[in-house]
Amino acid sequence: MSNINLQCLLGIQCNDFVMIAADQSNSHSIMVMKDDEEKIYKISDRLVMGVIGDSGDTTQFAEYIAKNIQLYKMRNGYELGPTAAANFTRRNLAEYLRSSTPYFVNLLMGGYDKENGPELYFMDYLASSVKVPFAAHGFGGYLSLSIMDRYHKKDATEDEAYEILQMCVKEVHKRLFVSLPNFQVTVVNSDGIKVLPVISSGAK
Amino acid sequence: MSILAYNGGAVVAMKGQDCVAIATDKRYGIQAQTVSTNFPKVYQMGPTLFVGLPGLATDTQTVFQRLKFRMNLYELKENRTMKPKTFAAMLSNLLYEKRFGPYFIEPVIAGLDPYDNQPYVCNMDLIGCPNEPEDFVVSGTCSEQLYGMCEALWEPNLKPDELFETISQALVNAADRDAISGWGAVVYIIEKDKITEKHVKTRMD
Amino acid sequence: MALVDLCRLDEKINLKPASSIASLENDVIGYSQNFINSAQLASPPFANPIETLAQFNSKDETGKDIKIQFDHGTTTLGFRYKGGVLLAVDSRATGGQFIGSQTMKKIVEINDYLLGCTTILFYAFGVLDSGYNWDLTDEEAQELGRRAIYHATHRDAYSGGIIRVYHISDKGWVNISNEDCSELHYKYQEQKGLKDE
Repeated sequence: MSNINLQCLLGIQCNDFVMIAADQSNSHSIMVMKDDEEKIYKISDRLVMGVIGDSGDTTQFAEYIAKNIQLYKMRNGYELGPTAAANFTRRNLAEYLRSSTPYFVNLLMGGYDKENGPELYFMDYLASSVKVPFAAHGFGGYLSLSIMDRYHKKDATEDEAYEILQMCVKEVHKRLFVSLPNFQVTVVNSDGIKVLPVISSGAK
Repeated sequence: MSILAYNGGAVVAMKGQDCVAIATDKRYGIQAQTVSTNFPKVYQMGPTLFVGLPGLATDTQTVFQRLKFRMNLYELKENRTMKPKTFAAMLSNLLYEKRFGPYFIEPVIAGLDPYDNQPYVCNMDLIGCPNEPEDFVVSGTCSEQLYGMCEALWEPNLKPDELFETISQALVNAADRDAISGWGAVVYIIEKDKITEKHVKTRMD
Repeated sequence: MALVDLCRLDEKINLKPASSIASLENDVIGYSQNFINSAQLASPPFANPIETLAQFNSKDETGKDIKIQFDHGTTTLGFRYKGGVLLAVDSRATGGQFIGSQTMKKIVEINDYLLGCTTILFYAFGVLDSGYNWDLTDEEAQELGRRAIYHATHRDAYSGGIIRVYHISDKGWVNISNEDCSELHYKYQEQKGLKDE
């Protein structure tokens, strides 16, 4: 049985940046093996991807996408923007879905486009992709989405967005029956990718 | 629950006098959870040709992209725009190729013939069996409700503005009786030299 | 009766003429035995009720399994604060994905001091927890409950309709408001400075 819904991904897009948070737990069956796992992958200079799902699938799929997007840049001399990268990822996931070896991964893609600014894409393991202002994967989403609906605003600063994510994580810690102690946070803006402090259950 | 109702959504198309209309809701959900309220399932494929692809969202996107690809090839080869009827045949063929592992969408086509401006509507099942009635077609998770609304409201020879009112009321009221359709709607009115796109306010619960 | 025999219908339903079974009087005695002896309950008037009834509610006429779809996925919440207890509910009733009613009363007014609702909640917790503290004023508490339900109805397909807010204090319960989700949505959107998406 998969634990895809016991993991959690959160994403917020505002006027100047896009921010993604991912829990850092790696569990098998009833055991937690690790609580400092990296689930947010850097794809290119202004593009990141948060991936949850079956543990082999997440790393394999994320690296396959990252390397192919790098290859595209080498061959053509320019990068895929977030929209193109999301389409490329979606198509790959969709083709694997109807093969004998589908990837069981849910993901959020966040990037900064030179023309269109920050963009956030929500993609599930069935490979449907939607552009959204904010989104969440996993059971944590049941608790977080209403908080994001309530407090999200387009012109929020990075500090304000980080605070919204803290509220979501706090709620997950309070109400979700699964232990997800640490959430890593990454922000993408016009300057590139920046790693923010981990949100932990110990800290206030 | 059917895989066709995994994401939710509805599309309807109607004939009018020298015009056709097609309308879609905007919900994208994962079962009970509404994820996005900006996911129309209707795409413009030509100057007076539209297709709606309600069903499993991943297949909505895949089928649209493959259709666009085939249509571009046709128009490059033939150097002329595609008739709605030809488009329907092409879509039917694309779907039937996957007869034993189908795309989970039930398409709706609406358009005016680019040569004689005749209104055309058509819908199909998920393996491409076409149906070309003289009044209206419906598809999606509230198709029963849509049939009821269309049967009650539609009449022959509606003018463009009357057609807009009819199709909007049909879609909005049908979606209000379906838990997984709605959250906004888009209506296209297709006339000979004019496409009107209107976003309709609906309940957001 | 040959066809009846052939179909073996008599094994399933009692087809004997009414006069040969019992008079009305006998029926009354037959069906009200439990007044005399509480262990005596009337059984359905045909043979093998367990098997006979089971075949009607397990398969439909095409032989497919009948799935009874219960009313589910509604949203209600209640919390305690210094001013008493606040209850808020939606009003949507669904069977499967079909919306049966948008105006159902999910709170039962038992008496002046008691209200009953026993159901499920989900999305409401996020907003409720982030806005809650013990020292809320009555207005703040009412708005918090209302907002929590509104946000739940927006995200949950199976919740919606009218949001009813009740306040209970030492003076008994008061129905504070009954507002349509749709009106609340556009009101809150306007407050946020957002146009309809």
